[in-house]
This record gives sequence, structure tokens and C-alpha cells, in this order.
Amino acid sequence: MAKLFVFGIGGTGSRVIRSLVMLMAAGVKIQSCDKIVPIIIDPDTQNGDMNRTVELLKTYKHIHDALGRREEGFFHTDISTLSSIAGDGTAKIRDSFVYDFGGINKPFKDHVGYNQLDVESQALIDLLFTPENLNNSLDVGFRGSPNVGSVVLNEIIDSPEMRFFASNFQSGDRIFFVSSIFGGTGAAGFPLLLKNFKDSRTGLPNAASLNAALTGAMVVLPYFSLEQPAAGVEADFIDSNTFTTKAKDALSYYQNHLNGVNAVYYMGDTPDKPMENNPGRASQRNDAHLVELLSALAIVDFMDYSDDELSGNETFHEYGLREDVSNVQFQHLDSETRDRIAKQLIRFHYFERYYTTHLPGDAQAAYAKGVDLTGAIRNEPVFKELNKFLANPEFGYQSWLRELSRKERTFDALNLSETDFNRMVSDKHIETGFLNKGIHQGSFVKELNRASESISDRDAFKATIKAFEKATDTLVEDKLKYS
Amino acid sequence: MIQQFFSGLYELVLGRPIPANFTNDYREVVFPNTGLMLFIITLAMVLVYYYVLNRMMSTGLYKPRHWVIFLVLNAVIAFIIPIAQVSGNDIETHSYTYMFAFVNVIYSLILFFVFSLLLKRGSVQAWTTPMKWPNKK
Repeated sequence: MAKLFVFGIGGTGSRVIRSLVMLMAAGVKIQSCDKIVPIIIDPDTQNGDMNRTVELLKTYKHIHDALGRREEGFFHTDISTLSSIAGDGTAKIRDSFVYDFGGINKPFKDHVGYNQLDVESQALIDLLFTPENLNNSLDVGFRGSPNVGSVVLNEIIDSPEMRFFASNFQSGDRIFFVSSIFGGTGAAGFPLLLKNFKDSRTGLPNAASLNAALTGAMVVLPYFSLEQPAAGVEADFIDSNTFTTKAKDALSYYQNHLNGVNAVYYMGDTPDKPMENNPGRASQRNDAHLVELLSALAIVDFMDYSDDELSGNETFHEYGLREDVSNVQFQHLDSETRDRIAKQLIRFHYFERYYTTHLPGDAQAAYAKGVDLTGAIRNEPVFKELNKFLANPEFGYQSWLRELSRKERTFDALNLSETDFNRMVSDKHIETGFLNKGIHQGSFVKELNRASESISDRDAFKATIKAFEKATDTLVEDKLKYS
Repeated sequence: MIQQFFSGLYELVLGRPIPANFTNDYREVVFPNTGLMLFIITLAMVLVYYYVLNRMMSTGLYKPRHWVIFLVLNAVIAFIIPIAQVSGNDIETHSYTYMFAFVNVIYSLILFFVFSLLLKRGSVQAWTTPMKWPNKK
């Protein structure tokens, strides 16, 4: 089966992949491939957004590996590191979801050997780059400067990682880029990688397959702004006032020079309350945003198209809500989007809420006792990974959902603070009465016990996840009646 | 046959029924009636617990403490039956009667436990109650 290589470039790339992982965890189905290989490209090795996405990916991989290959269900999509796709342990690259820049921690000026250049060349460089560009250390990323990024990122094509990627690229595999158009790393990295992959004279192995590969791209337009330092204050910052100008410039470049991409997706939003201005490193850890969640859906959409459908003319996609509302619920999403994610996210939300809140009290329930769940939770590391995935305050599902509800345009479809299962889905409450209590701890455990009846796995983790998949499916269909 | 079985079962622990003039009443009526009722009622209680409350109805009464409640309820019934049988057959009440009731309680506990082990597998909600053994996943 084919693989999908997702290049997440820059901070936005990392954040979109974070949302993609959440969708995969919820069991959103991705067609036409049996393995996603995310490759995060960001020279800022301490970037908060990137590091928490990497931790999330590692946790997801542990959980997926414990569950094994399946056609559907929570965590069923295989997300692997680049080095693991060789399968025979022969990879000579680091086993990581992140491209290894090898610690570029010098100023851009030194990186290009500015001081060794003749005067004319120095003058040309001075024309193309500002003094800040030249003096900024590269280990913080490109700080919203694509002119810097396009020089540095050009070198990664000759790296062992890219050669390994190209060597293992097979006919039928697809490529997807996720990047912002208004920053530094993403805006520079996407067209540059695309150009190199689609260049018929590229020095990469497997050039023919790469040239012919079906390729998609999510180009994220400005959707947030950053706080500006007070007048007269000397501060290290990214000027978000330039986002729109940079986006326009990049779009006009794309219009004429973007060749070889089969489907391009555009997504953006009116910036709301400015975020804290952190140009890089660990402090650049922006809250998750609805735009990132919807951008992750572009990957799902791209994979829904058959080879034939994508092989024709380039297609361009934009995304719109049904209504311009601040609190976005499932009903405000287009029916296609809703069909793709709503039930899966609701089921996963029910699972997370029950697992973290009620499961500790279920030691005597048949579904738990049958596989000695209490002992397994205590002793098996994979349960700790699951706990991390759901509740880690840095990168877990709970914090992701909480962050999504902190913006001015919030993703408000699922209510994390609501303890009543009957009222957790914002646009569909379950009517209860004297004889109908809807979904509650008792009915949940009943469904879990019933589900566990037909599960033959003796492995506690597999049996528990499968029981939750069946139980939540029944509860959503029969009690919530979500359609 | 049934008379001999139940008489043997109770006399094994209690010895010959007293007062002696009621020995035949015990052997021919009280012991068989009590034993049969114990068997039927205990089976019914186990079926109600595992199949009605924890399969058909899924009431949430699957925890060991709920099982213990049914066990005790069955024991109370098992205590009442012998006394009711003795008084119902105009037999003089004696300390033997209460010993008989007590032994019937012990038998009810054993029988309830054995029926539980045999029948719990068919329950959806409570097949691990009071313990998972001897069933496996």
C-alpha cells in the first residue's frame, strides 16, 4: 500500500500536524494509504510548537503499535518516522519525526560566509537581507523571513534524510506539504522542496517517481496576529503587520512559479486577539486554532481523491464555514466535513471523558475485570502513553481542545468542562426524562460490558480500546442519535 | 429417592430428627420439601441475578456487593423455609428446628455459589462476579 509523506514546515506545519494526529486518534479515516510519514522541518530545535507535536507523535506511535494494524477505530492509522519505513533497520538516519538540521547555531551572516565575500557580493547581500536578517542566529528559525529560509533550506536537499526519503519513495506514494505563507520557514520551504522534488534533473534518487508523485499542499494564509512591543521598547519580535504583505508577495510568486502540485488548499481567517510575540525557541508555543484543525482536514480530503481525479489539471480549494460565527460547532461546518469528523470526534470525546473520569471506579465491571484492567493500567507502559495522549498538560487531547476554545473564533463543538454526557455535544443534547437517563455512567458501563462480550482479545489494552470503540459507537447511534 | 437424598443430606449434619415422634414427618415431608424448595429458589435467585438483572435488564447491579446481597437474601429465605415447613406440618418446634434452619442456610450459601459458578458465563454484565474464575476472556 502507498504511503503519504507529510512535510510540516515551520511552526504552522507542526501545529497542523498536531491537529491531524488528534483526528487520526479519533479514527478519522484516511483513504488510499496505509501509512503517514510526517517530516517536520524547522531549524528551531527548541520550538515549543514543534516539540510538543513531536511528543504527541511519539505517544501516538506507541499506542498505535500496541494496537496493531486495523482498518478502523481509534489510533488505527499508522504514523511512522521516516527512518522506520525502510523496515529492515538499515536506515542510517536518526529515528525521528523531525528533520535533523545538525545544530545550525550561527548567525546567517556566518552561514553564508559574508565576511569572506568580496565587496560587490557583500553589497548584493546587503541589498537582499536586512542587518537583522544577517545577524540573527539560525537556531531560532527564520523569524518570519522567507528570504533567509530560502537560502538555508536549499541545502537540505542534499542531506542524508532527503536522500533516504527519495530512495524509499515508491510509485503510488503521495506527498503533502503543510506550511504557512506569511512566515519564514514555511513560506520558503514549501516552494523550495516542491521545486527540487519536481525538477527532472534533480540529483535525488528515484527522480522519476518523485517527479510523477501526486502532490498536495496546504497553504495557510494569515490567521493570527502577534502583539507588537510598545513604542520605543527594544524587543526581539516578529512584525505581524507584514503578514498580509508577505502573503500577497508569496501568492504572486506561487501564481507563476508553483509547478507540479496537483491540489492546493488555502485557509485563513481574520486575525483575532494578538498572541504573545515569541519569535522562536521553547516560548513559541501558540494555542491550537480552528484553522489548524480545518487545515489538517485538507490532508484527509487530498487522500480522498483517486489518482485519476488528481492527475488532471491542478485543483485549488478554499474553505468556508456555513455561517460566520464565533463559536463554531459541528452544525456550522459543511456537511462533507461534518460527515468526516463529527461522529469520530464525539466518540473519541466520550471515550476520553469516560476513561479519565469514570474508568478508575470500574474495577469490578465485567469489561475491566475480564482483562484485569486495574493491574494492566498499573503495570503496562502503554496505558501511561494513553494517559499522556489524553491528559498531558503540554500536548494532550484535553489541552488541545481547551486551547481551541480560547480564541475569539473557537471550536466549540465539544464541551470539555461539561461532565454530563447528555450535554457534551454543543449542537445535540440528549433529552432525558424519568425513564430515560440518556448517557450516564451506568449506561456507559453497560455498553462497555456488552461490547467486551464479543471481543476475543485477552490483551487488556486492545480489549479496552475496542470495547470503547464499540460502546461509543452504540451510544452515539442509539442515544445521541447524531446524524 | 428424593426423600432419601434430602434426608441423608440433612441428617448427615444434624443426626436423627427430634422429637423422635416426628422423625417420619421430617423424613417424608419436611426434608424433601425444604431441599427441593432450596434448590428451586436458589436456582431462581441466581437466574434472576445473572440473566434478568445483568443480561436482559442491565441494571448495573454487577458488583460483588450486589451479588452478596442476593446471597444473603437467599440465605434469609433458606432460614425461613424450614421453620415454615415445620410449623406448617404441625410439628413441635425444637432446638433441632433451628439447627435445621441454620444448616439449610449453609447449604443455600454453597448452592448459590455453585450455581453462580455454573451459570455466570451467560451473563453480559456480571460474568466476572463474584470473580472471573473459572471463566476466561
